[in-house]
Amino acid sequence: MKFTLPKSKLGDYLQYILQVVPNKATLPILTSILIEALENKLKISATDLDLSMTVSLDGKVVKKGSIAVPARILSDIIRELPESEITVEGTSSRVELKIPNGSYKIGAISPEDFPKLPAVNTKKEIKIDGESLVKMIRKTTFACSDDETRPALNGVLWQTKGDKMQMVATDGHRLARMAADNPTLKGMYDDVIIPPKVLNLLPKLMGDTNREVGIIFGENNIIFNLGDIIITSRLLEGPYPNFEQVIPVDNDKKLVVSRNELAGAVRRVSILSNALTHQVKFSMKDNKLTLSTANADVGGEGKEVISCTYTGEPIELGYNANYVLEVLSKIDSDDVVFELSTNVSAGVVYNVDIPKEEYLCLVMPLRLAE
Amino acid sequence: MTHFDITAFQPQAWTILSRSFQTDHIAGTYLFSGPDGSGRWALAISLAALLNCEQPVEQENPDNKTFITPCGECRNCRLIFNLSFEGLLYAIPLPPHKKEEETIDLTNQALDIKRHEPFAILSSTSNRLISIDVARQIKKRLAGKAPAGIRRVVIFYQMERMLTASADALLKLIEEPPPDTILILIAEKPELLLPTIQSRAQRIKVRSTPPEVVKHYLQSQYDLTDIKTTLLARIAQGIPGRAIAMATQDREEEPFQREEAFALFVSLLEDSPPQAVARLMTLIGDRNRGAAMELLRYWQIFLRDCTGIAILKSDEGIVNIDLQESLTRLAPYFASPETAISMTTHIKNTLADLRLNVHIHGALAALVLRMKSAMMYCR
Repeated sequence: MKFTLPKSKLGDYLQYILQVVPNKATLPILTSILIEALENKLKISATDLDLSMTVSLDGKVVKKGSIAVPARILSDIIRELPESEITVEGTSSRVELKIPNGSYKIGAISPEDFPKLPAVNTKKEIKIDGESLVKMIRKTTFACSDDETRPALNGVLWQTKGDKMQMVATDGHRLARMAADNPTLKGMYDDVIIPPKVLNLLPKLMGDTNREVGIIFGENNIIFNLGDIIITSRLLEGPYPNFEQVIPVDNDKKLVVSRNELAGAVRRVSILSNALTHQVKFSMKDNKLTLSTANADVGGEGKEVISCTYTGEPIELGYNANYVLEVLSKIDSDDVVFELSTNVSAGVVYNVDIPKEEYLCLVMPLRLAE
Repeated sequence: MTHFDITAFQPQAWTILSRSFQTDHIAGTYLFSGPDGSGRWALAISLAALLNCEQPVEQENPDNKTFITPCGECRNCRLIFNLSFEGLLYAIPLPPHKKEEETIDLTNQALDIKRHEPFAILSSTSNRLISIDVARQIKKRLAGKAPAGIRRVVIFYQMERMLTASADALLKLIEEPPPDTILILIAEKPELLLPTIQSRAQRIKVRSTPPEVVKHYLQSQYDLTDIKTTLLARIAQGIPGRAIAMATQDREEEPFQREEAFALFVSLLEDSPPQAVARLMTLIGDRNRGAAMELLRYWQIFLRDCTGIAILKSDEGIVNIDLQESLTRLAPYFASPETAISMTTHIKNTLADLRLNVHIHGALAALVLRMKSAMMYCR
């Protein structure tokens, strides 16, 4: 294997790929990257077995071949090199980096030992607008659970139904659901549970560019094709709990309040809340929302009243301030709507400008202290 | 290419596993029980290789029954036997540590030993445990679907060293592993596992390996003389890991050297009871339970050799061939079969007591007195 390419180009792509390479692993090969020199094209791959990334870049390939090289050593050397053309030449056990005034040799591993990456079958690929994909990701992944006793909740459920798709995440205390139309789904019906790691990586890789993303739903994995970067993630085992049944449809009380005003008040009042529960009491009566908290540990009390539009019987509920703030940060409109029922049932939170069928969040109240 | 033939080391266990594979009745969870170093790990990785082998080989045993083995040559076999396969996961008891990175380093150290020698006995000091974090990591990894074409195998080594909380966290997984995933629990004392775990796993007993197989293995893997391999294979009593430990350990690291054990055995037979006890206590000093048990295992072998010489009037087949002359001299003490039987029973009982955490010095002193009493009574 032998190829030549500019230092900066190799360095940039290595920075992408390093995001997948674990620092340490019980499978030593995982700390290496696979370099494949093809016809005037290079492919560099890395995997941590859950997530794999392959970047493709143009290069002057003199001799085709492949090799696995320790990722961090290679990256450290490339980063320190001055800008120049680098010739990379690999044998079965060694890689040599040749620069105009010297050379570096690194021990290499047989490419056969590198874990097999799933084949990309572009025939099954569907295209999704990158911007709407990133939006769905940003508005749902925050609600994923990290409780290992319910592994399915550790991921985001991505449902495709005909020409509609939606992403759902919940940890049992809050839930986020975002739906979008996509005519390119061509009548596909599929439910997959995707680990948040890959979903959080996608916006970073896409940056500000608004490009289409190719997606291939596999049996065990999902592939995101960003053109020069292909990311594969293993899917989580299902089934995902039936979330539809926990979304209330007949909440009779409605609160409309300024999102910024509410977020500010919750943030301030919660400073004095219980360190464990972060409980803040919401009292609604006569178009007034009173936020209050008391903390016996520090002997403090906090209370703020903000004006709102409230319809329904007066009610008092306890919420975890962090959950409320997180949900408010995902809502884009100036005003936010809370649909409520009782002080022990879920409250539906949504954007005043967008129908709740498109995006809604759910927050479970905390039982109020006596 | 593997350097051991599992069908020679564990013919019975392998026949069961091979038949289950041929009939597509591989269990979700196995419990491999047997002493440390007996070949449970080798059996586990051989099964992992068979499940992922690209070209399993069908063979016939002497009874004309077919069995199947991994080819040992394909990519998957090669990586599995080198413990570098993406579908192999491990939970190994580790000494106390704080950071997750240390868990990886310590696991890698243990894997390096097993990579080099699959029959090696890993340290099992009481502070080594399978922590809840390791159990959680395994659970997290198994929450993802298995890569296409791979059957994942998770090896829980020295399962009895798993904390109850960790075992509880894994109960559901052990009862019903995810698709394309096999769990192998390795335990020396399976009775110490939670009953709920015991009942959820298919138990495979790992038996003693014939001494000639151990001898052949030692000859092929270690630079040892013929007499030494014969001696080690016999002393190991069917446990290849023990023979390897004796062959490779620095003499200082041995829990109890055979020469010391023999000197105490001679003292037991020839000295007065107080002298024998005093000598034993001096030598045992502050050594641990493992050393005391090692001493008694040596005594069992010396006793067997002496009895063989005394009763069969032949030194053929004795284990300690280098001590033949001394053993022949001591043989008359065991002219009466009752003495041998009684002393063997006392050693066996003391070994059982030591496993149950009794006081080491007290148990050994009592043993010496009982054995002396048995000698006098039978005489």
